[in-house]
Amino acid sequence: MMFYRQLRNELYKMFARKRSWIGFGAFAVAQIIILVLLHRPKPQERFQELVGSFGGIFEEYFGGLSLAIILIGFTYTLLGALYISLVGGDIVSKEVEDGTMRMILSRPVSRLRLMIIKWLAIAIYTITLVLFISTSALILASIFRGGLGKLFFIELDRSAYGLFETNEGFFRYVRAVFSLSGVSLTFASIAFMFSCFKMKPAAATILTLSVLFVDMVLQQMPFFKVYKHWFITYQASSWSWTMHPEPPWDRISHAWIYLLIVTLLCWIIGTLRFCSRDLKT
Amino acid sequence: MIQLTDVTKKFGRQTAVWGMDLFIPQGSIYGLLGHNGAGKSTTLGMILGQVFADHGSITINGSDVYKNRATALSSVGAIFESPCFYDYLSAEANLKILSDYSAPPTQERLAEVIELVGLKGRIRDRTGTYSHGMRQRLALAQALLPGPELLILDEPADGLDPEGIAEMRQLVRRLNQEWNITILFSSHQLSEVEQLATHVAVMREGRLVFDDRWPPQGLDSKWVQFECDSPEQTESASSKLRLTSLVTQILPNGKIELSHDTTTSDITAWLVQNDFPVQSIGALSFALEEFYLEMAERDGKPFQHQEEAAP
Repeated sequence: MMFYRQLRNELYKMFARKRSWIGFGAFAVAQIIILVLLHRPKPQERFQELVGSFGGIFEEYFGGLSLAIILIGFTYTLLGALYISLVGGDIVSKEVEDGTMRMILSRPVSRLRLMIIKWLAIAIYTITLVLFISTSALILASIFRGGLGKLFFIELDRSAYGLFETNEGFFRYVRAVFSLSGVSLTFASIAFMFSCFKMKPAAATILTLSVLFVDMVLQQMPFFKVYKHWFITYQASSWSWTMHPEPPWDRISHAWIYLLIVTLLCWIIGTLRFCSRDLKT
Repeated sequence: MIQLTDVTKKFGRQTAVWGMDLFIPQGSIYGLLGHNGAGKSTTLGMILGQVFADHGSITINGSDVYKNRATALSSVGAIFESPCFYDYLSAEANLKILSDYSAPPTQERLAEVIELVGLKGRIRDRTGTYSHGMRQRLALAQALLPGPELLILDEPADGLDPEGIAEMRQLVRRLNQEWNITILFSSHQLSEVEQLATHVAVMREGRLVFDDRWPPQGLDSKWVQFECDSPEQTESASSKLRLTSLVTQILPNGKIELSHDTTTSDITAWLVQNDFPVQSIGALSFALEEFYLEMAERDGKPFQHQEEAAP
């Protein structure tokens, strides 16, 4: 009961802060802007060419589902990691910086329990954010096109594509969204880990973004293609593999295990650091 | 209540607290005094388990604060220098959030504590709108909500105006006397400690140089102040007294610390015999400031009562 109350309070503290939920608004605005741009003739012509080259009909596939996937792809890449890093980077270090952590730790609560609560809070935030992005993308795109339509999906490197009927497309969309929520927990955990060290919240955010950015750049360099399995961002792209016509479940499960290990390691390192550090003004 | 045994804490090469032994008895108002950087806040941090001691043990009511944190801190409330809150939330929300880390208070208890600290009309306001004095009161409220037996206050008067200081002092005294709460507070304001404390511990450069009841028993009677016809004669008499075995310490303005067997009458007799025209002589009511400055003159060497110092 106490644990539930403490977790609820943690979420309340988090969502009451402007910078936590401002990300939700930023995503909605970004999605509307992208939809408006997609309304222009040139992007539609490009989409028509692309879907046509795979045997699809523009009117059937230029609908809510296909556009929602495009919206998620762009907005999440641009803003997802940023907001998760921002809130995750704050979760411990902001409380230490503001001095509220000392107030909490003058109570008979263990640091380990606090770390479990904090990580759960950031995990719930991350999942909520991804679910919001995907729901708003689908709703906005469906309003924009007047319905869900069929799903056309293609990997950025064109290594795989899929054309799905509405029901099958919706199922794959939902499955991909939950996968994206799961892989995002790794990003949140990296931010959480840095936040547990003695550093400013902004430093924890910047370090998280730096790790993800360097990881992404390195995994795309031809010299490191052979080592791509070691890169977090490569394994994180497994969320889109679930939309393949024949999802490579062995690769996907390998990616999820890898990400789970990284997530656990980040939590353990962060928790060990926090549990052993002095808190003093 | 609180027992520190041979506690040492280092930050890198800097030793913040050296082999500290301290016992804080139940029911006391214990003033921890020292200059900035003396190690007071580190000591309080260690008592609360927020700073890890490199050596030694700290127990509260017999429970080790590191090994059995939940039990040790179950009866403790604390406030820190410049209290910090979630400024975007109301004071009431802050109190509820912090209380849920120990035991959620009943509505009656919440109302009682809010009334006590005088925040009744402002409890639904965001703490970001609070003045420093109000934040101190709110901090006190959050510390009192779980019904603590021990209250730890780190520089409670810091940043308060004279009215606020007086209010805080009254409140602390009331909590000690009416609510039977043991108080441990740190301060570098001598007058604050002098007016409140039943016990005083003095820290200098990480070392505990004095801890005892305040004023220390027997100390008053060992200090005497005399005055001759002129200040020059007083100083001259003091200088000559220094060479005798009658006194152990000489302070300016005819303040002398008597040696073990000396009485005020012995000093009067000596002054008369040595032709010093003595105007007045009497026991010195010892002020903490002088005591503290004397500690400073001793350069951190542990203070000894006259009885202990005597061979």
